[in-house]
Amino acid sequence: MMAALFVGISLVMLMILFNKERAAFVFLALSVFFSILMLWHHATDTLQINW
Amino acid sequence: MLERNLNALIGLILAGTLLSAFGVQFIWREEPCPLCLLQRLGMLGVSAGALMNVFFNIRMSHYGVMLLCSIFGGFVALRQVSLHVCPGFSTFGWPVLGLSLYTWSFVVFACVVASVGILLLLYNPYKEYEASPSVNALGKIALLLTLFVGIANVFTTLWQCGLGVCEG
Repeated sequence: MMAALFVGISLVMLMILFNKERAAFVFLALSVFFSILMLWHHATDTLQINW
Repeated sequence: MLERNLNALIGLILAGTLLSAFGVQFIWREEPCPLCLLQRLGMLGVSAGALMNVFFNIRMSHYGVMLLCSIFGGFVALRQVSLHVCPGFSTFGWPVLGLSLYTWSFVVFACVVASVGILLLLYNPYKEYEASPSVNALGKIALLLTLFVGIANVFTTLWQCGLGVCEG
């Protein structure tokens, strides 16, 4: 899952390289969204922190 | 042209920072924690915004991407600082120039926010920017280096965490 986030952000770089702005934004939005979910998971589940 | 060169420079500096993180990982043999990986993602997101400015032209939305990713990365860094800041709790990893890497990471994100502020001062909304600008060597090197760092992180993260969420 964590590696998939890096796949997403690498795809953003590839889209920039191939001049696909809209696709770059889509992949970036997905990467940031799932990164926030990952942070949420680590903050609540793994580290046993109550916000 | 100045604004796009400065954006390329930000991409280059962040790629250098991420490469130095690889140095810590492989030379000092210090495996990154999940929060460290999320900070790397934040830096790559900031780079993406800066490189969009270089390759697609200067736009407010690209600066917005940089700011949002800085906020995300800065929040993750502060979260990690808060886990270790109390006296009696050990820090994670070796300090560099007296500060832990996650504290440096927060400094980097704060510097990005300040840099975007300065770049926005240079931004002129009434200026006609080229539709498809030609990209110089600095921009191309910044993109290729950032792409390399991104792909390298895919493999190192797979090697460290497998297909899971990287518990730790």
